Amino acid sequence: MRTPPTIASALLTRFGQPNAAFVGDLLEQFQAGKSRVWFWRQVIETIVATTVGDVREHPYLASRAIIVGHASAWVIARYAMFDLLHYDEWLFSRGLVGWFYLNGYGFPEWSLWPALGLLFAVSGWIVARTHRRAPPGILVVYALSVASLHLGFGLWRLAHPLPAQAHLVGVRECVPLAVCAFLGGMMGQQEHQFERRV
Amino acid sequence: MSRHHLTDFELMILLAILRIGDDAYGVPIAREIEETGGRSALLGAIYTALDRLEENGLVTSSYGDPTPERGGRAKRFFKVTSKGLKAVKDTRRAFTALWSGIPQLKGGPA
Repeated sequence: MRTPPTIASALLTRFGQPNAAFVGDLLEQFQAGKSRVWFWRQVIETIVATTVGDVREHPYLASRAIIVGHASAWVIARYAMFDLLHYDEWLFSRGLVGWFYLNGYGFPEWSLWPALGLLFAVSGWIVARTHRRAPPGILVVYALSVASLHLGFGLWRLAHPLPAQAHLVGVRECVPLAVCAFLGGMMGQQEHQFERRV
Repeated sequence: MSRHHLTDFELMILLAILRIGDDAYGVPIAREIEETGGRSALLGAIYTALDRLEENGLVTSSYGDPTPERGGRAKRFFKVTSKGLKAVKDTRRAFTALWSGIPQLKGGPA
């Protein structure tokens, strides 16, 4: 027996159609010779369709999830992770990295990505924990809003006279940060209590 | 009298169930639509439409036995109800009426 893609199966179970017969049909067709690409395509399109349906059915919860997620990210960035997100300034103010700056060595922007990733993973976790009775697609919506926000920010930066390297920062960040928000949310969704009408 | 207006996709699903007969579950329905109807259909979209049709009383469903190749999940078999059959006939009547008398559609291949 062939094993279907593990990640796709997990995503389907958590975010796709809750119908067990539907999952069984997908597995049956996969065993009958359909490709892994076909399986992934079915899963992604099903999650998209389910998420769109969830948002149409629960617009208030979707909006609340986006607001809670971004507000919590802002609060954490401002009050809990400020030093971590500005670690170069923190080190500089303590005289620890002055030599590097004086000799033309700075910290690259990508060195902030782990801290930013952690920030959005925590915000995704908070969204999941505060929306345990909401449909799981709400988390997909929040992750998409993170991607959109950073993409918008990156495009806005493109229109402004910044150093060339900095122009693409927001654009490059949008997907990995959305993934972090999504993964953080999945960790917070372990005790999900939403009951979908089947 | 309340009448359910079928979308073309719902009509295809109902016709596929009628063509398949007793063994109508997700996989053969998708295959029938693809092979006979000439249209590729996502299983997720088929189930969404089937749930809607069941809510409207046009189909009923029952579960079979779970099998290993389906990861221990049961098949969900669908049957068209008398209301569903009437909806199919009504839709065909409406299409036939709309079809007739159009000069551009006369004489060409079906």
